[in-house]
Amino acid sequence: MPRLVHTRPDHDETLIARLAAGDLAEREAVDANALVAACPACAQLRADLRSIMAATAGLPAARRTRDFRLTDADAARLRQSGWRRVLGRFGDPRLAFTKPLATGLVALGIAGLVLTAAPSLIPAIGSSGAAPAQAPLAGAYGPAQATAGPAGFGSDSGGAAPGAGNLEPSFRAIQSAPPPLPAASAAPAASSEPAASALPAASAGPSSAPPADLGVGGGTAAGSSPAPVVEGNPSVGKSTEPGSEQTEGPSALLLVSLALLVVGVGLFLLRWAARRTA
Amino acid sequence: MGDLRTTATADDGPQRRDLILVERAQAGDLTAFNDLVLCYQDQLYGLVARMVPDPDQAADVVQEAFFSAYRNLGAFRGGSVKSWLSRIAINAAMDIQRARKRRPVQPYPELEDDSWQPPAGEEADPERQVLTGERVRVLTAALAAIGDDQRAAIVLFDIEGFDYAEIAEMAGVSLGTVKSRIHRGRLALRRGLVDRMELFRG
Repeated sequence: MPRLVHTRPDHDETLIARLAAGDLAEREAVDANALVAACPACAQLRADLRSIMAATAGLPAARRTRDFRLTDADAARLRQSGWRRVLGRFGDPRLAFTKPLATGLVALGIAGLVLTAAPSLIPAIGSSGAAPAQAPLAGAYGPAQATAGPAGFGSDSGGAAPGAGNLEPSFRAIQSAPPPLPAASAAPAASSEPAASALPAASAGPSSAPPADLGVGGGTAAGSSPAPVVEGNPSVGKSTEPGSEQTEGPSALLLVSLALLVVGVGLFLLRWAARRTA
Repeated sequence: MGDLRTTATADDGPQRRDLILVERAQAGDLTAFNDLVLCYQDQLYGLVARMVPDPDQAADVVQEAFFSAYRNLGAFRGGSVKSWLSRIAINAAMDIQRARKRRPVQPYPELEDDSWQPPAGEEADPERQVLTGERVRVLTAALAAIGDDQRAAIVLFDIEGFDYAEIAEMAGVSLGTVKSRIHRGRLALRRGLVDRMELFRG
């Protein structure tokens, strides 16, 4: 049995295939013919490829085993009506632009969601670095600050509240998120005390005043409105501070991202369904 | 129907005939569509049978292709009806092949099928018949073993007689890609036939 002689590795087999098919430009053909003349394996390859082309073209056609004409029942079943016709339009080549459009919308939606979620992830990622810096504050300001709830203190303190009021809710979420571990270690001291006991503490005397005073963020809060100090009672904070309403609900970015994502995925589904029904 | 065919000129006859039939089918004439089926069912079956090894599955694919063509008559925007139908059939065949690869059942049952034997003329030399049958068998097996894209390009070019541009349009790829698929496919065929090349030489 004659064996194939392989062409040298540095000889371009595709060039020989193109030569065998007559697909080479004149100059390339000259080079390829020179190669074939100098390389017996290349000449064999060209001859084999031509034999294969001839044999492939001469393959007998397979015999059909069925009549594929449509019956009236087939036609009635296949006739598109109503929603199928509308759906079918999404498979129209003229609406091919919906595919990149859907891809873009989904990408934007995902990017928006990531942007929305990223700030809330940052404290989790960087908690080890952020915690030591917050711990002294928690200690200095006392238990009330360390265990402050979202509604009670976020918009109430004199220093932080004005800025926080302008922030996106997601950023406020960082501010109102549970403090890192070292800071939280201060919390049990406060949380072990009943909330009610903190109220008298605010007016009891200088020794117990600083936690409530600083924690609330100003003399007005400590003196006239001690209610926000009450821990774990958001309704109290809301009722006393109108600005605290802004901290609730999803951000516009989140809503837009979700909408883009839904529309993009919807377009993909429509195209897929159109292809399935086609 | 006979009138339509006789009114067509020699050069653009089939194309004119096809366009008229499509137009009538678009208007709801099922007979016109079935005339198109009659014109192309053999060719489409031959094409799909090269792509889908199982004859029954190939027949199902062709039937689905005609169903799809009927459903999408409204989407036909002119051009070659033959190319349009072939594209639908090729896409259906590729879908089946992809599904088959996900759930392989029995590879290449067609190799044992008599329908793949060449028709033997009464005057044919028995030795030559055997040789031709063997050549068809090994070439079909080698063809079935190469990549789907390469096989489709080779079948469309070498067997069905489409030109590069038509295949590029059907496959939705560039002319260069079609050429590359054909050349690489032939090289792959030769590698697949490495031990049986003597059948094809001389």
